[in-house]
Formats: sequence, C-alpha cells, structure tokens
Amino acid sequence: MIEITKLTKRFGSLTAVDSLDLRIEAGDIFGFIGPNGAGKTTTMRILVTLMEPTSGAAFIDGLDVTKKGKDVRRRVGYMPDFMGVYDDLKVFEYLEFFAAAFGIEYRKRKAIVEGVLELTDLVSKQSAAVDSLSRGMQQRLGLARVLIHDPKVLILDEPASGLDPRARIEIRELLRELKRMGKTIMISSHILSELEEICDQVGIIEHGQLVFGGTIEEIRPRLGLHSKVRVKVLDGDEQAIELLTALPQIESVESAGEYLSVTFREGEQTDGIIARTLVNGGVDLVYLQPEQLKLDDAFLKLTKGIVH
Amino acid sequence: MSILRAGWPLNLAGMNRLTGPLFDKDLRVAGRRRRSYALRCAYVLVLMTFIGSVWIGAVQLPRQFAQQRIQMELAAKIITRGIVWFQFIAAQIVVIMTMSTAISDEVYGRTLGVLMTTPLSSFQLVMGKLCSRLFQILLLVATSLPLLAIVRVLGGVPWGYLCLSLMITLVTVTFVGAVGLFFSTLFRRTYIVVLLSALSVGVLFVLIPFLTLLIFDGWLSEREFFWLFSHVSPYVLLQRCTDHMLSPRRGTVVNIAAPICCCTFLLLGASALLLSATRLVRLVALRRAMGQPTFMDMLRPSRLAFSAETRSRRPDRKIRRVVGPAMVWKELTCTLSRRQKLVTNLTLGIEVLLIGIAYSFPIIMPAIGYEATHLIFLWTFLALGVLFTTSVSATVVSAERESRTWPLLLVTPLRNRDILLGKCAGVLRRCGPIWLPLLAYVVTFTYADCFDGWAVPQVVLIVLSALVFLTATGFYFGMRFDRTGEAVTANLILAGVVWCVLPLVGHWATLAQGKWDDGRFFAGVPFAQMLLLMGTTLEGGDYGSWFGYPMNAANVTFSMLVSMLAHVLISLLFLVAALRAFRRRVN
Repeated sequence: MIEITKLTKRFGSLTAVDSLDLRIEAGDIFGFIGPNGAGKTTTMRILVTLMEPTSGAAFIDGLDVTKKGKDVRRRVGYMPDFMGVYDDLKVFEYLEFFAAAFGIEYRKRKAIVEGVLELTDLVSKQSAAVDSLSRGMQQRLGLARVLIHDPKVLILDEPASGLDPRARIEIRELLRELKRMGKTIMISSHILSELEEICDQVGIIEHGQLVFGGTIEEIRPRLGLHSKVRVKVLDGDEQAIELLTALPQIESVESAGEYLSVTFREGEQTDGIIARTLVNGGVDLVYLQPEQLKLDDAFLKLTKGIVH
Repeated sequence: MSILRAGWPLNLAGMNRLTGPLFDKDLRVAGRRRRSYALRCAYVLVLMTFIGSVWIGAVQLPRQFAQQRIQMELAAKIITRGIVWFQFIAAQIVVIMTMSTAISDEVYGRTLGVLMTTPLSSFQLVMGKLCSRLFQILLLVATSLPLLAIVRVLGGVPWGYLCLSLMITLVTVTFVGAVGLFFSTLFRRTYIVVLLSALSVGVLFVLIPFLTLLIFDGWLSEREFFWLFSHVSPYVLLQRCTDHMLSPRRGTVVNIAAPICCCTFLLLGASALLLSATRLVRLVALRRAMGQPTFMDMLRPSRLAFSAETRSRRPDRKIRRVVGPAMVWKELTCTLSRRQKLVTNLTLGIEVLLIGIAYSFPIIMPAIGYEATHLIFLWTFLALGVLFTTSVSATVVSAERESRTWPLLLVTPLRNRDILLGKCAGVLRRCGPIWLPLLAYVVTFTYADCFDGWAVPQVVLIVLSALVFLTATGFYFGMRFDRTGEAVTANLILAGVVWCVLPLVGHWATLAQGKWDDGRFFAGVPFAQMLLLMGTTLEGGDYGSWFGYPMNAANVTFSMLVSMLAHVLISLLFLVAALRAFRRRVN
C-alpha cells in the first residue's frame, strides 16, 4: 500500500531523509520510530504531498505522490504532530468543512460526519466550539477529520503526544478499530510501548536512514539480543543458580533482587527445561516469566540519539 | 554587543535592576536577526532619498556669491527641517511596528508564562521590552545626527533647535512606544496593535488639535492655539520650534516652559500606560497559561461566565451547514473575533463621528473650506481602507500558518486557486465595511449633486486598484513570512515604496533635470487620484491641464482605468508568486 524507494530529502546541506526504502502492506499498522530530527515527519510530509523529495520515489496505493498529488490526497488521511484548529467553528462545522474540502456531496455529508463522530465518540460534543475541547478531545477530533473522506491510508504523526493515559488508551483502541476496518496506518510516536502493542511492523529511523524494519519479533535476532526468563523461587536462590548454570542452553544466571534473570544462549529458548530442572532439583518454583523485548530497548540499542 | 558582555555599564546605569535580563536578551536576539539590519538599511536609504529630495528642492543656486551664501543658509535650514521631521515621524512609525510584537512574541513563543514563574517582576518585563526597543530606535535616530551636525556647522542652524528637536523626538517615541506596548498586552494580533496605536496617536496629536482649532476658530487665534497646544502636543511644539528656526524674527519664540510642560505631560502619560501594562501583563500570562480572564473580559463581567467550557454547551447558535465552495464558506461564515469586531466597529464609529462633526457644526465647514472638507473625508476613508486591506490580506494566510491549520488545508484535494478564492472572500468580508463608507460618501454626495456623475466610476476604480493590489501583495507576504507582524510590515512598506517613494523619486529626478513635473508620477497613487477626482468632479472644482491634455472627468477616468489595469497586472504577478509559494512553505 505504501512503497518508498531511495527517498531522499535535503534542506541545503542537511540531509533529512537519506535513500530511505520502506514497504508497508495493506491493512498493516506500521510504527515509525526515531529520535527527534531523524526524518520521520519529513518522510510523512512527503507521503502526504506536503513536500517534494529531492530524489527517489514514494507510492501510495500505486500512485506516485509527486505526480498524482491530488489523487493521493483523496486516499490519505494525515494528522500532523500539532493539530491546528479553527477557533470559531463548532465540531460538526469543522468536520463538515473538511468533508466539503474533500469534495463530498452536500446530501451525503451529514451522515458521514455523524458516522465519524460516533466512531470517535464525539457525538455529545458536536455542538461544542473546537477551541473549547480538551487536548484529548482535539486529538480525537483530528482523527475524525482524518477519517472524514474514508481514506485507505492513515498517516498519523505522534497522535498520542501530550495526552493523559486514559486518552492514550482511547486513541489506541480507536486505532485497533481502524485496523479492523482495513485501514493501513503509519504512525509515529515517542511512546514506544504503545506502538509495541498495536503495530504489526516497526521501522526505526536515524539520520534519515532506516536502521531497522520488520516485526518486533524480528528485532531480537537482528540485535543479537538473547531471550531472557525471569524466575522466582521460594527459597534457595543459590541452589537454583547452580542448577541452571549447569545447563548447556543457559548462558548466564543473575540475581536481580527478588528474582533470577536467566539468559539463554543465542538460538536456544526452551522455557520448559528451566521448570523441569528446578522442580527435579527440589527447588520450589513460584513463577517463571519470559522477559519481553521492549521496543524501548531496541530503540536505544539501534539509535545513538544524536540529533542533526 | 560588546556593551552587553561588559555588564558593568548596565549595572552602573541601573538597567539590570530596571529591566532584569530581558533588555540584554532582547538586544542579543535583535542583533542576530536579519530584519534588524534590514530596518537600519531601509531607514538610512529612505533618509538619504528624503534628504536628496529636500536638497534638490532647496538648492537653486544663483550666480552671485553673496546670494549663493544666503541661499545656502536657507537651504541648510530647510534640509535640517526635513531631517528633523523625517526622524520625528519615522521613529514613531518604527517604534509602533517594533513594539507591536513586544508581548505577542512571548505569547506565541509560550515564554510569557515561563517568565512569570521567574522572580522577574511584571514591571521589569515591561521595561525590558520598552527599553530594548527604544535602544534600537535610538540607534536609528543616531544615524542622522552626524548629518544634522554637518548641516548645522555649514548652515548656521542653532544648536538649541537641534537639541530641542532631538529631545521632543525621544520623548514622543517613548510615549508612542508606551502606547504600542499597552496595546500589545491587550491584543494578540500584531496588525491590530499597529492599527490601534497609529489611530490613538493620530487622534491624540492630530485630530484633537485639529478639531479644537476648527471648533474654537472664532475665539482662539492661530497664535494662541499654537501656544496652547505646544504645551501638550509634540507635533505642535516641534512645528513652533521649526517656525522659529526658519524665521526667528516672526515672533514665534518658544519659551522653555512649553517643552518642559509637553515633555512632562508625555512622560507622565507614558508612565501611566506602562503601569497599566505592568498590571495587565500578568493577567495576560495567566490567561494564556490557565484560562484566566483578560482585561477585555473584565471590562464586561458577562464575559467571565462565558468560559470555554460554557461556550461548548452554548445552545444559542445552531450548527451552520457548509454550502458552496468550502473555503469561501469558511471565510464568509466564521465569526469575526471579538477584537476584530471591536476594531472594525471602532473605526466605523470614528468615521461616522467625523462626518457627524463636520456636517453638524455649521462653523466647521466654512472654516475648513468646502473642497478641503470633502478631501479630508475621502483621504481619511481611503487611508483607513488601505490600512485595513494591507493588514487583513497579509493576515488571512499567515494566521492559518500561525494556528497550524495550513497543512490541513494543503492535504485536502482543494486546489491552490480554491484556497486563494476563499481567502479573497475573507479579505472582502473583513475590509468591506471599511471601504463601504468611502463608496457611500461619494455616491451620496453625487446624488446630492455635489459631485459630478463621473465621481462614482472614478472612486470605484480607485478602490479596486488599491484593494486588488494590496490583497495580492498581502497574500504574497503572508506566504513569504512566518509571522503575521512581519507580513503586515512588509506589505505596508511595499505600499509605501510603490505609492510614495517611487513617485517622489521620479518627481525629484524630473526637477533635478530642470524640467517641470506635471504630476504624472503620481497618476497611479490612490491618494493623488482622489485629488484628481475632487478636481474634476466636484461642483466648482478647479479644472486645469494634465499630461498636456485638458484635465476633465473623462480623461482622468481613463487614466484611472489604465492605472487600475496596471495595478491588476502587477497584482497577478504577486498572486502567481504567492501560489507558487503555497506548497513550498508548509510550516
């Protein structure tokens, strides 16, 4: 659905996006991650025809964004990192204005606006002035605006920034609902744990270059990160360490406060062996929990955090 | 900036205590901005052009040496007068421009609330803003001092006049700066601050003395009027001083009481305004940070209950459906903000008041003269229309960028020309009420047989020229600049260059060649066209020749039509440039 080939954007001597290659399949949620100034927003702006690339090409639904700008705009819904609002319009008027801007016929507009208001749970606010809405409500309104023309692709630049936890959860649920509706979503965020929960794929970008692209599961071997398991035993930490260290599949066992952190050798992950070994060794096992690879860890490992 | 690095001079002058670190910070920032240098260059350039024009007009040397000497002495005085008045007016214009962003810059940068959380007092904040900008004006004024000194040495201009004029200029600039700062705390939009400051200064220093002169014409002689108002109006005071400098024997001696009284009056006024601004600036910061009421809200307690939350529940206004082109609908339907309404109503109120005063008091019309009364109204309405169009056209685009709604429009399938059409509708809607009185005035007096029938098409052509030209240039500058204030300023400067500087340069160049200029360079200037309208259509108007042809209504209308077409052509170029910049500058 989205294809980027050797995309480059230069601002004078600064290369914001450097030969970026990316492919996002239809119906996927793609998380775009990178430190500040990495080139995320520039890439997104090129995709939504707000900027022209210096070189390379980008396609949305098979359409070249530089040549078929108007057609691309009909297929894409873009939510910038800071959503501007018209102070003097009401919520319904605001949405209908954009519906009209997208060329939706007058007789269809009311139903469409009511539909997106319902989807974004803003029906009760339709007569409210846009500037009177809270930040969370404004973000939801932004999503409603993005959906007004029923685009196939949604490009959302940090839609959850500045929101409280409840509002973030609401936005997350809304995105899941949109995925169920078959939308392709490209989303950038600094709240990495949230992307982890909703994204099918992630792309980590730094200095305008993609340093990783794929599923979260694919990150682990790519980074050489070994699987870890947390183990808590009732008594006898030392005995447990001794038993586990003797296993050929285990690289190391470390005490981390109340539990033990067990690291497997590369390519080895057989959680069952730990439980069997400990129980057979007479150690009372309280719990055993595989440690998830956090996107934050991958982000830190893959990026140097150097801003242009 | 070395003066700033060496902190002791500032400590010695008590500046640090008075302004905190703001004076230092603002000067550093100004030093890094290209526009500061552009301003200084523009000031020097305009000053040089102005001096050149005065020189050409003043120096017509006879052959005899004795006569030459007398003529040079007179020329020196005339040149000095030109420089003094130039820096007096220019410094006020610049201070209004620079002061208009004093507080709004902090509001836009969201640093006003941050400043309020520091031990910096509101007084220091206000004084820091005022002093840093006055310092820059001081630098501008200082650029013309060497010239004045040279002219004084060569031409025998008294030192007293130079010192007095400098003092009057600086005190007036301080007062006008305080006015600008006061409005800057009240209003967020730069152009509104500029308009209100200019209007306030105009009303205080020009309109009130002028009306007083008219109303008390029978009881107050001109000399008494000048004596009285030289104690309160710097314009009148400077005029008196200038008259005395040019012809010391005429009996226009300025005693020391008048400058002292006038300067004290202005400084007291400035202090009062600054204290008010000090009180207001914290309110403004709270409003921005926490939704606290502003001064405007406090003036009308009913507004206090009208918070954002209650507004969201307001059931009074029905939802308006979008009909027709989206952009046109938005620009025509969006309610004007309270401040915009206030400024528009205030301007219309002043216009109606002026007409009422002029035509209600039988004493005024004969005092001004029949033709002059019409001309004053036509020029006033035209000036207000030009000012509003200059500001609004530059604002309608840049305001979208400031409120970050511009990218939202650009990602819709709306074509550039759809957006432009909507913006044109917005300009018409906002400026229409200001232009209408001019049209209504001419139509009414044409109906009353005061003007010939040609006056109506002529005024329509004049309005169209100005409106189309200023709208196009406003759109262009709105696209080029990120901030509304910069766009409005650039648009004003361009209008000044096209309608004032260029015709004057042409006029002086003609004079310098020893030829007679019949005013052809001013044929495209709306204010000069208004004069032509008066000359050719007013009952009993003074008909003459122009361009070698008899100056009649038909010929003048034709020249106005040509001028309008030229304006439209130039406007198209600006519109094309604006359209090309539409998708280049997204932020």
